[in-house]
Amino acid sequence: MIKAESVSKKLDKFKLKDISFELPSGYICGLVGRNGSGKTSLLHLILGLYHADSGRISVFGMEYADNEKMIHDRIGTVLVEELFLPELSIKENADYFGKFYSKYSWDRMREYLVRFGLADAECASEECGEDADGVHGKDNKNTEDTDVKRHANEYNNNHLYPGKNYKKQNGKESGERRQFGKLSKGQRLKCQFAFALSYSPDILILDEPTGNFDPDFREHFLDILKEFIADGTRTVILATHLTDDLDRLADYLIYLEDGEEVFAGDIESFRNEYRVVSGEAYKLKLIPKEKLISMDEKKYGSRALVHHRKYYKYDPEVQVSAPAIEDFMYLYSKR
Amino acid sequence: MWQYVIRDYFRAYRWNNVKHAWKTTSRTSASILVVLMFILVDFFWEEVNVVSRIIIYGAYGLPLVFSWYATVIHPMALPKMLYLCPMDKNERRQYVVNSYIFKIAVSMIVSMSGLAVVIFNYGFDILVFITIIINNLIINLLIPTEIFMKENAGDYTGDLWYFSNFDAYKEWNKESAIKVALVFVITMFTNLIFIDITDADIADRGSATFVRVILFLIMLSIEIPLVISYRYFIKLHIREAEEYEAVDINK
Repeated sequence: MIKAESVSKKLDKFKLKDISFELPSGYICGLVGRNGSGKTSLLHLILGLYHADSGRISVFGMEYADNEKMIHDRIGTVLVEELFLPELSIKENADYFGKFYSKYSWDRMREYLVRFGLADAECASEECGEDADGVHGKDNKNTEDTDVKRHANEYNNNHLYPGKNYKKQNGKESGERRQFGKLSKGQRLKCQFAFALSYSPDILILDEPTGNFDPDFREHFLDILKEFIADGTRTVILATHLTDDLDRLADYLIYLEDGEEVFAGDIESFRNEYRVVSGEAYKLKLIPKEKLISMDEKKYGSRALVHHRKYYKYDPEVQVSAPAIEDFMYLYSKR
Repeated sequence: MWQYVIRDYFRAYRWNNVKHAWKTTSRTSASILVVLMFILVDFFWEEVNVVSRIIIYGAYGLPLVFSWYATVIHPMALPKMLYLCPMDKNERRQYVVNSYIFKIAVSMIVSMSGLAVVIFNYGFDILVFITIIINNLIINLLIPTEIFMKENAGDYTGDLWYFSNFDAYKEWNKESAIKVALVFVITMFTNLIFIDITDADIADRGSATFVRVILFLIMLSIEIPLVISYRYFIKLHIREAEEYEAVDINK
């Protein structure tokens, strides 16, 4: 679905070098790396915001030069910076940008807003705006929309996100009529996430969205991602520092370091290729140099990151385990 | 598309934007105001009709300040989300061009309002009228935001879509800035002198006519060629605004 072939890009004082990967549909791809490793720049290349100096990037088998409109119509994006306009309300923003998307639906957007606790599930028609008829009682034949509605009801009934009364209070607008700039950072991200889902994209690109989510909503967010790829035709790219989530969720991993691709492939291959070896430092130093990537020597127990070979026999007195992404990042930085 | 262009235009008039515009173009804005102040010094030497003169210079100067800020808070670049929305280059270019045209149109309407005050006070003179209209149009055409941004502004906000660190601009920024500043000063002074001599109690009307002709020739021989040579930069601005990479100051 997304293919990068030897992509390089020089930025101001930084260079992305020779990035290659092929991400199929139905995968959640974790994009990880330290600060300044090039994650956001790579996402900008995938989104067509930057143009590669060399190599090529294709999305859905198409390139941006000829098919920018078609590609963007199928990509949902949540970036670190806010994309909505702060002086417009949630609904005004959604309608303003939504008109560009062929599959945008305010009904769907609103259901996600309700699900995320940004709008009230039940409200008088004048508070829902002109599209009130589209929200309640509509015989929606779209399976996806039915699922979203069901989830919205479930969550409201379970009071996970109890339907806060967003009716107009003290003369201030409420629900989807609230001014976007007056929402908290977390609410703004949720709002943009709802918008990204509202036009049924085939690819969801998320650049560190979870930092401002509360723990409850983070779980909810991960569930939504699982739902999103459930049919096997869609893809998620999630750039995040919260690697625990990726360990549970990701099927594909791209790890960048200083603009270079350290690893790009499915998570099984990642876990097969590397091992974390724990034990006494003198034992770890016996590991052949060509296998050893790095070592973190501590007074009581050291750890080493090694290239793994299936038939290699480790010292019985060391513990060998497949690396968690966070361990890998930490140990790789010790080179 | 026009409804969104118009809404975008008026949406930018927020206090935060005006404050930020002042902060990031403070030296140039202050310079313009200082020049206007020197003009106003003239008032102290006039014993009659000071209030009227203040009104006239205000009618001329305030639209100028409006044009200035309208340009600063309406850069060519689009909001980032519009570079992610499904639009092809032609549609984006049209959006940029329409926004630019609308900005000029509104600024011209404001300028003409000020000119109406001048005409009301001093009567109608066809040469003055045509010259001031052309001069105001030149001013409104020529001032893209980027010329007057500090080179390493670094005070980008999510609200304002400035681009000031793009390498290409640094090279030709000074050249175009000099042209714009030159044209701006010439147009401003010729306008003011036109107003001044229109009001002046000059016994020899022939001298007044001579001065007007000279100013008109300055416009034809200096201003208009500068504008023609500047069109390349306007086209470049529009072309760059089609691509996010060209306007990304965080790159």
